[in-house]
Amino acid sequence: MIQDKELDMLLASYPVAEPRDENLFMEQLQHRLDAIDFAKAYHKAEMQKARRKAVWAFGIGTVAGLFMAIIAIALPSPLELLAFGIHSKIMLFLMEYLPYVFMLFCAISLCYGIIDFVNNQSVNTQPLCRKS
Amino acid sequence: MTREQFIQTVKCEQRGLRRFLLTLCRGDRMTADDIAQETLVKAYLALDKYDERSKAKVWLMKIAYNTFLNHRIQATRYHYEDIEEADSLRGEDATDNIFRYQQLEQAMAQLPETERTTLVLHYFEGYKVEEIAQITDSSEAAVKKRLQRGREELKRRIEK
Repeated sequence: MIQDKELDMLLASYPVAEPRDENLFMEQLQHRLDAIDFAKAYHKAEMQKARRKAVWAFGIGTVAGLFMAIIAIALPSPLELLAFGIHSKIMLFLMEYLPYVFMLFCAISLCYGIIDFVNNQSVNTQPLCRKS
Repeated sequence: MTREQFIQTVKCEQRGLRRFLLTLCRGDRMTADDIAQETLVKAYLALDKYDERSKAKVWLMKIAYNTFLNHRIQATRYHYEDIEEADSLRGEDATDNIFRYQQLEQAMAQLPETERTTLVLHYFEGYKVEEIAQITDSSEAAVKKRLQRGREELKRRIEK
């Protein structure tokens, strides 16, 4: 069994192997970091695009909805046009609220239409492969 | 930290980092460099979590050590290198103490992983106890205990 002092000298003098090819190592690292930066930038651009689309869809939907609401309020009630002596309470109830039902149906259809249009646009503009 | 600052930091610290991993990987240069690359990529991805009050080299060594441990878990069972293969642990400027160094290498190889890592960080890389505690995620008392046990074990195994 060796002594403390001898062990200390042995550990201090031990020639540890040094790494080689520092330039190659740094070059490989730079390539990896380039790939990471590209992926981050791409992801950020996609997020910004998606946010812009959401804002546009919301804006157009709101305007369209307000427009439809104004039209629905301005039109005369179909009750006066279509009554023709109908006495069924259910029919009268439906005819009274028909403009609002119609407005809701149009708003939902318009909303789906805008979202579908925006999604189709994004599919058409996406590149099929990354530029080298 | 920007990318340029990160690259400058890596240029200063990569030698010590790779040397440490080379010792842990027992001379396997390819594996050591692979782990080093993985370490630096992880560090780059976690730059926003880096606390600039702490030393960059300690932070990098901590990631390197954890990456090495993960690599060991995923890799196949590690086998003990023959004495001839263990020559690559040593630098080219080994002196007449080759036999003594071989005994040291054999003794180090038989130590538990945590003790070997602690001895390498302290004696070969020059880290202080508190820095080793940060790197290995342990208390300073545990690091001192490992150093003491490691030294006792080496003294016992290396013949006079």
